[in-house]
Amino acid sequence: MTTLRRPRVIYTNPSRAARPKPEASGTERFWWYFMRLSGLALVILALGHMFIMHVLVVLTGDEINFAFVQSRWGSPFWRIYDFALLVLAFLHGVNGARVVIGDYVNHRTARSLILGVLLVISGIWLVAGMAIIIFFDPSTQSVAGPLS
Amino acid sequence: MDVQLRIRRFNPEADTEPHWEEYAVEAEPTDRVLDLLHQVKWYQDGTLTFRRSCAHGVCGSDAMLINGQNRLACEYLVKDAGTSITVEAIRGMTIVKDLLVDMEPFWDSYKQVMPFLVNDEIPADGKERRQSQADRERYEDTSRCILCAACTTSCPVFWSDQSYVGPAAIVNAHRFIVDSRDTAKEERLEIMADPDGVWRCRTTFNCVEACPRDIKITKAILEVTQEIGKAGIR
Repeated sequence: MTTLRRPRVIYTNPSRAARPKPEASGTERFWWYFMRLSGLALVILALGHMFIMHVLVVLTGDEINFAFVQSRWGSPFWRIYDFALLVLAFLHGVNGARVVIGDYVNHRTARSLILGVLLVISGIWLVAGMAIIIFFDPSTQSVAGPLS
Repeated sequence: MDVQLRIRRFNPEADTEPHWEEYAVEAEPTDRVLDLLHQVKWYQDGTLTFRRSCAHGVCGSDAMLINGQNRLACEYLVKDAGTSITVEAIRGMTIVKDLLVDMEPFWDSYKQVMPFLVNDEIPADGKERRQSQADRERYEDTSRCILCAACTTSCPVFWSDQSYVGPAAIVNAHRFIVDSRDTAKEERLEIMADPDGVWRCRTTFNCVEACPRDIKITKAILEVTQEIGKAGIR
């Protein structure tokens, strides 16, 4: 008599019937709209940023150094511009990464862990960036740092 | 013409992993890939297992991954497929045997969107629920779905996480959400606004390419998203 081997499951396939009833998610809805609107805004903000930093600087014979940043951040317009660019690009990128992790990491513990690390690291960087833009004092003297 | 047919086979009673097997088949250019599968099953190897019913692109039973794209085996002709053809089971589903997959999770998602007209009111004339031509036109496209699962199983989001409701279920929800006679729109929109609902669509258009009925699936998904916004569901 031949013994039948138990078929190996090739893919996990959780049945939706076993899941709780679906419920509307305002959070997911918010991020769905945020990704599209911030994407549109970033096209303008990022292209403007690239134009100033890489085209205009060359055309006007300027140099990107501490004095250049000082002169730009002396105006509230450029501070708000850079602040918007920083916050939108950061949230857009981090939410994109969150979505990709959600798509590709199926193990629940691993997913929470990776998401946690992503949020902590990106949170620190975002706050540091915002603090610099908000608290930068244009009257500060240039200090020779390791990158200067 | 001679066709070399490669089929990804899996026998749950003997194999631990699927493997490829090759068959030499003689075919007319106007033969369908389904005819080749029949030739193999009827004359070469009777153990080959696959699903098909009407064999004319209506029942939606024989969706398969043919030459790397989800298609109906009964609609794809040899003259278009070439002389070297690969056939696999649709992806993201548990393989029962060879090209046959367990469709139950697909039906669960489908059932969840309540794919039936909900209306307990008695029509004005007591007989018919009348609808303008423009209202009828709104769901013309999505009402043509044959539930073959070619779209859902071509979706990369579904491949990596089967908790996503999938394009087919959204298309069938759309069919009733935009139907002016239906009264359960809000309930369906609630289901569609779940974290595993429309928000997970990345608009990669795989579903649109795979659909044998040429349904504009991504358009339907976007329309459902708009309806969620209009209904103020949060």
